[in-house]
Amino acid sequence: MNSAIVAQPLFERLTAGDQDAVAECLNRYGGLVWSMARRMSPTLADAEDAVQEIFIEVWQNAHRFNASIASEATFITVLARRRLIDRARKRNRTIETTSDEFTADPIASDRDSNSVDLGDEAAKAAECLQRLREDQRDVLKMSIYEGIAHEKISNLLDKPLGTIKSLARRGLIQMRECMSRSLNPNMTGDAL
Amino acid sequence: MSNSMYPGDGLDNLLAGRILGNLTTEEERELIARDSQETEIELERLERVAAAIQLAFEERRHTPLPKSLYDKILFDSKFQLSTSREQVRLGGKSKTLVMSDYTLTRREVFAWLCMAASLLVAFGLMYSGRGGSLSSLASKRARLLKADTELIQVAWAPGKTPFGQPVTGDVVWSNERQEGYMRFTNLPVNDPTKEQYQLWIIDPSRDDEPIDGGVFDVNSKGEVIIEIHEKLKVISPKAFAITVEKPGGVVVSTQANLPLLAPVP
Repeated sequence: MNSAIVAQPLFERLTAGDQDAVAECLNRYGGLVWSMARRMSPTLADAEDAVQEIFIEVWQNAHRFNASIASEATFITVLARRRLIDRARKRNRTIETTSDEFTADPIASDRDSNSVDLGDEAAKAAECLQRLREDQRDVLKMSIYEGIAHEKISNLLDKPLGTIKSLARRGLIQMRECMSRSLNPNMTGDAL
Repeated sequence: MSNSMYPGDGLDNLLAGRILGNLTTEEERELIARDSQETEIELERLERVAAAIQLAFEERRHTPLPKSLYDKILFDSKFQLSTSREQVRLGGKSKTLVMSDYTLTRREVFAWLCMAASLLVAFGLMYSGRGGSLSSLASKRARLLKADTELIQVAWAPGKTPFGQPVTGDVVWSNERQEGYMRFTNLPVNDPTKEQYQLWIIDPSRDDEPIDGGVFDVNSKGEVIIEIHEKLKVISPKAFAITVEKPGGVVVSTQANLPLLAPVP
């Protein structure tokens, strides 16, 4: 008889107020959130503020996590993106990196870095991205991952703004179609 | 019908534009007009797709949080977790707030005592008139009041469906900074699993539809301060309104339950 102990899921423990779960969550996803915040914030201080706000959102919304809808990484990324986009809009300027300090996301050595399981959705998204046209993939990467405003993408790629918007929208819709073909069809209709 | 310049299904196009933040004002208006539970579900699904795309580009290895930031988040979480847990429990059968059930270590007791001491110092500073603040939101609000002389400050008044108890407070809003805070005294504690408060900013110079100012909860009696999270740029607000909505809020409110209003003279 297999008597392996099954650990209680992380977000259930967060909802129950388990402090060990907080540390585990920070160890597991802190680096991911920190990376996103640095890339999409103008200064280090701004990135630190953003990370604190994001994790407050995570603690406050932990009870809304539903593993049948999204992975832990996706859940946290949705909350992080909302907060980072909101902060950027409040700064009344485009989300863009302003110094070399933030343009690169140097990967630390094994000793200094932590590894994160990005979940099945990320793997599926990576697969679906390969099926997009190259120009769609480039625009989505610049828009979603790098957080560059569409006006600036238009300048960088020397293409009309309307073309950039259209490429991004079509790309996102195609990604949704591609991902829904092999992901759980029940991934709709709940919080986050 | 959509006058969108982008081909494809109109609604999908609008939803994608919302997630990517590239809707025109006209498209934004059209999306609001087409609000339904279905569109909200689709928006959430596209939001998850965008998050998955972001994750697909992310490296598997990241530089961990700086130690000082890690420690601060870990320490602050003691208070934030207990607050969110109380909210969840309020949504259950019992309406009784339950105290934390973990055992305090000696180190934690020391940390709590330090916290209590610093609060006492903060109280002392506040009442001695030499500055200092009890909470970050209160200090942010105070900074805004000092920084913007053109600031809007209006008091809450009963709306179409007032509360059974008197609720006071005000809204401060800076058009220049696109920043604002709401202050309430005696706003009833809500059950976030059943309903949430939502702020609306009425700004006819921008749009006929009110601007969504964000969803929020109240988990304690007395005075609370809430930061405004407006979803669109506010140009010249004419009023602020609080409605009670389903969890997560709505894109367009029926205004069936509108207990508070703060008109701008």
